[in-house]
Amino acid sequence: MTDTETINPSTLKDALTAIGKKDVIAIAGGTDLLVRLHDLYDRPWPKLLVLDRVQPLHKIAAGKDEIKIGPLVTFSEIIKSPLLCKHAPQLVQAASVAGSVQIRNRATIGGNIANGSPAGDLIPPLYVLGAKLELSSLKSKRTISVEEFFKGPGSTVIKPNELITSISFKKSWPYGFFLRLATRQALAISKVSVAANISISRNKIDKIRIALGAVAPTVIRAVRTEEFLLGKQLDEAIILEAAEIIKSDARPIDDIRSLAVYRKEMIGVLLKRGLQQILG
Amino acid sequence: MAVVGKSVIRSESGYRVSGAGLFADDMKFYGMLHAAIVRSPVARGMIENINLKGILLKDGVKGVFTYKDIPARNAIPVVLDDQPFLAEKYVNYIGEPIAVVVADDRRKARAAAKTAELKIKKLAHLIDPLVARNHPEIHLFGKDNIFKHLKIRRGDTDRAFAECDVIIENIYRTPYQEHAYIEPQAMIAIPFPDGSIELRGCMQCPFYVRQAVTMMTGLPESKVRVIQSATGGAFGGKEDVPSLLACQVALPALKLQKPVKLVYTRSEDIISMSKRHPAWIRYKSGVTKDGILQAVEIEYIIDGGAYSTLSAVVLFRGTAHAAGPYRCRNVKVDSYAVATNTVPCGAFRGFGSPQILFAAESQMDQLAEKLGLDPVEFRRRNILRVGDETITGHKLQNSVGLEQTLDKVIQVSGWTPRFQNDDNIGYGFSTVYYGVGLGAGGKHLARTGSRVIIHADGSVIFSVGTTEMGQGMTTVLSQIVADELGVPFEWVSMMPTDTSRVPDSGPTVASRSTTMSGNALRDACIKIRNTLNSEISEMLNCPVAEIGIDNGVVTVGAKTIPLLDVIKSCSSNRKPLSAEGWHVSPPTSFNDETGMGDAYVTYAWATNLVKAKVDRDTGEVKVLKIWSAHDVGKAINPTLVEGQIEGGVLQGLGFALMEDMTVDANGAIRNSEFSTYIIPTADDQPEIVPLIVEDPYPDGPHGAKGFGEQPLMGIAPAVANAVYNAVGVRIKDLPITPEKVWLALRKL
Amino acid sequence: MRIDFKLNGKDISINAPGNERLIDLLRERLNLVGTKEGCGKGECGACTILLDGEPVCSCLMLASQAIGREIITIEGLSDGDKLHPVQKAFTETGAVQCGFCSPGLIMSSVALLDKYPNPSRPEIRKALSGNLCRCTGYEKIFEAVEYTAKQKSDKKKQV
Repeated sequence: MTDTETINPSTLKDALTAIGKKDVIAIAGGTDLLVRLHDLYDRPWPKLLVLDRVQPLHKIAAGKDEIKIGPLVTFSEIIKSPLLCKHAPQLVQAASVAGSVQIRNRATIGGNIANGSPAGDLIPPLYVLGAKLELSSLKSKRTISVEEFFKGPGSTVIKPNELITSISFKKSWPYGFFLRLATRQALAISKVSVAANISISRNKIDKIRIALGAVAPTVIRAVRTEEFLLGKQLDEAIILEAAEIIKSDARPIDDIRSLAVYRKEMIGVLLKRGLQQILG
Repeated sequence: MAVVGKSVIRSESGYRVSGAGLFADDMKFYGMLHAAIVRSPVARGMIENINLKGILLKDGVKGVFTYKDIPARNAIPVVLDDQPFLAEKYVNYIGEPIAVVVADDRRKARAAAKTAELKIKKLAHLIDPLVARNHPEIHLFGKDNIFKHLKIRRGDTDRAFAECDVIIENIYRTPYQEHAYIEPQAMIAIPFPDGSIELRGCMQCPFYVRQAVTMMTGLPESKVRVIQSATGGAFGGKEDVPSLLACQVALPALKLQKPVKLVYTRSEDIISMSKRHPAWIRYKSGVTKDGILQAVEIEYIIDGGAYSTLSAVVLFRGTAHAAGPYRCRNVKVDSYAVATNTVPCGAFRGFGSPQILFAAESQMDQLAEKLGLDPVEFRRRNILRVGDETITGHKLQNSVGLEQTLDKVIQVSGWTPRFQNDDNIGYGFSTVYYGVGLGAGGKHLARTGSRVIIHADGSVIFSVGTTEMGQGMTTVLSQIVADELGVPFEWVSMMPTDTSRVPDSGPTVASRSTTMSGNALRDACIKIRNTLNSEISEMLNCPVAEIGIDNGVVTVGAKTIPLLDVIKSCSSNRKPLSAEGWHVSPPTSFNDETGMGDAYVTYAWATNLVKAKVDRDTGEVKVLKIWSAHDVGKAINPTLVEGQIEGGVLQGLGFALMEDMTVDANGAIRNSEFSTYIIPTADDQPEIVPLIVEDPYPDGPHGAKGFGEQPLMGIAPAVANAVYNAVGVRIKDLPITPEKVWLALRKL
Repeated sequence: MRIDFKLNGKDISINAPGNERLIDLLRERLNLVGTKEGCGKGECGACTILLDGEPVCSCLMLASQAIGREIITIEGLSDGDKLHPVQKAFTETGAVQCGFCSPGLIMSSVALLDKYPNPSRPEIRKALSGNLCRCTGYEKIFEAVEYTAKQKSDKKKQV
């Protein structure tokens, strides 16, 4: 007989105790997990650890330079947060286009990260914000950069007895964007996405991070493009050259949503549009 | 005051908005069990073993049934009976049903079905209809894998082409289209102790369902009763395939003597249920420099999938409409429905014509350009008008409102040939037509019954054999009944469509309900009206000719009395206010060798104009506005007509831009979820301007023709024409994705 | 486990497996069949209910996630026989064809109008883009929302 009960702790300690047990998996909003479990027929469902009631996991807090978001913060809460609108515009833009109103009201930042999809829309913004993830088990805590978290599509370094307990990043540099292409206006997984975090000092780019989604087995940094743009003055010619270089940073595939050759080109188009907006 | 012609509020809406719409899955019966289907994982194979014992041991399972348990015939009757209800020795498509599992819980039934151990020896399979046709070794149907071959031979195309000044030849492709009705397929079977059985579920054709269950069970028709439940969208996808579900629940219900419910999961529905036939079209058209279409030569191949089901009839409609709504003296069409090891394709709004019209209307624009004529002027020189003959030689005596639809679109949109292509914006036209009703391809089914009863309190019920599936048939027919009887619209209700209430009335397809059921109801109402009239004549001592009945009031000269008094009088005098009605279609014909004949009783006509903007950098096509004008003969309820236009146009837009269902080399559908099969959301909808034209059809109720399928049909070519107009690339295989546009722009 | 929550304005307490889907709790256990299942994966919105006033897909929620929350289903909108203004508007503008998507769309529309009493057409599109409709082409649904907004603001002006 399948065990149909869930674990519904209200303290972080109880949650961490539960996740340490065998065959227990955590559910946040459930918008990815329940879709996967829908098709699980050949064995019983694992025991579900419902995190909803663990209050500390729902917080958004800001320090002088840093912002800390709990994993249970929903996409809708991200969009509505004046703090994040000001200091993490890329994250807010990404949250606004993902899924649908209904999905955004339940999907969480922690779930989006833990799901480990290279098309997860919040991930490229987290890359460019230099986000760090706190992974906690009952007995220990570790902090890793978001870039170290992902191994491949759907595959992350989180251990079965760990939960993501906090996501933190420095406030965005003055210029940031998130752009993507998808098959339709809503309820659509991204074909390609680009996130950027840019600082311009004395007319030159002095800090830059660019991350690409859906064009590699994980989200990746566009290292060559960053190197090219660092120290340069943003103008039309530089933008066009950067848009060419970024194509070699991407390693896309053909799949049900799009073609590799198209995705490669579109990365350049999106970068161009994002940078032109900054220029304009 | 007549109700026909008014946009009265749909009588059924009240229930739907409170959620009380009583769809199949909303119904529960005492002792009900749940079914799930064991399906083939391979496109073609020989079944060596099914571990039935293993299935029976699974949690909650109450029974498992294979073809061996079928009492009578293992076949689903459609046109031919080549499709088995449950696979016997061979399977021919991924998803083909092999066994039915029944359990006390839906999820347990599905788990048992999904984990069933099957031993199937894979056999070489065929995916591409061009490869399957005449395949030397693999025989799926007959010797040549051709379900049907139809022809049109009119005039002399070779000679005509030789005299043409412009000839254009192209190959076009269109993919599967999935209905994506929001309600998944569902059916319930309720057995009764007297050996009879009731089927309730979503469906378009209760009589098809009855026929399938009697064929499978061996029960007489009198013991099988089918009642349609509220149906959450159909579009042709619930035409023949509910017969499969009905058999899938009837078999266990009869064996276990318990009600059995079956609801498909969305991906199961997408994988196993019928779709629009993918098509390959080689289209050659020739014109003389005066702008007259002289010759068309067409090879039209549709992928029928593993079993013939409706392919022959789909092919008929596509063939008859192959040249578009134009005069053309020289026509050579060869159309083929081919067997492959993929899901059997069937009916979908347009039924074989959207594919061919995509080609035909794309050709027309290319011909116009070569001639130096604008697309409207070129069409004007060739469109059918009253007195003209269609390509099947059908002389059109009346109700040809095509030019009116063209004029209306131009007038409302303000389009002129001198519209500039600013900012990569383009305009594209299409003109289309649609033979209303089953036509010669289905003439033996072209009959419909009705029954009308006025109760002693004045309330009226009526029954017909066609079904409501959201198109608004209930309201349209209620309006017709109300006006025929002279009662207020609010007095009239339709009973759920039930095979025990009227004789076999054929299917609800081919946009036939308004004409067929409407006429059958008028037939019944006239009989009741006669009884009312003779009663009034006695009551008021007046000749029948002076009697007027309207909105529940009887008027004779200056005198008025409530109709209710007459109804009560009939009741006291034991005169029944009930009658049956019947309607058969006027004759149609089609010669299989030449393709000549009066293929349909009448035609609906339409013009579409699409305004689209193309993003040159990304290839994305944003459709900004669509004007769509339809000649419907008479709009019995204008709001419902608009609703059909708006809904059909958006479905056509999905077909044009984003619905891209493909099959991999193993024969598996790649996009079997709503996350991967993309249909338009509210945010994808362009501005749609629905326009109504009325050129009455004399044999239609109040002049009405059916037209519900037509709004989808011409959108794809209009979009393709608009994209060409905007940026000079012509996409000849649907959908027009950004990837294709972008790649084509790079080639320029 | 005990699932205690507020449903359509009333406190209820019911025994159900914690991992039962909320949609099954509503449809099968409580016999509230107004909420429909179109896909079971949050991709069509037919199962939309209001969770503390916000639209969510009930097919992607567990029963135990409903504990302590306030849920409104389509059944909770009408007052006896009296339809909610949004429901009424849907019937009047022709926004209902087959009606299967209607409950979900109505819930999303109610949530929108509660927040933005006078939404623009682009705002309506975005708010409803998580509810698929295959029959209507959405146009008359937008009109129903606009009509409701106008009715309410006309009423306000009258007072």
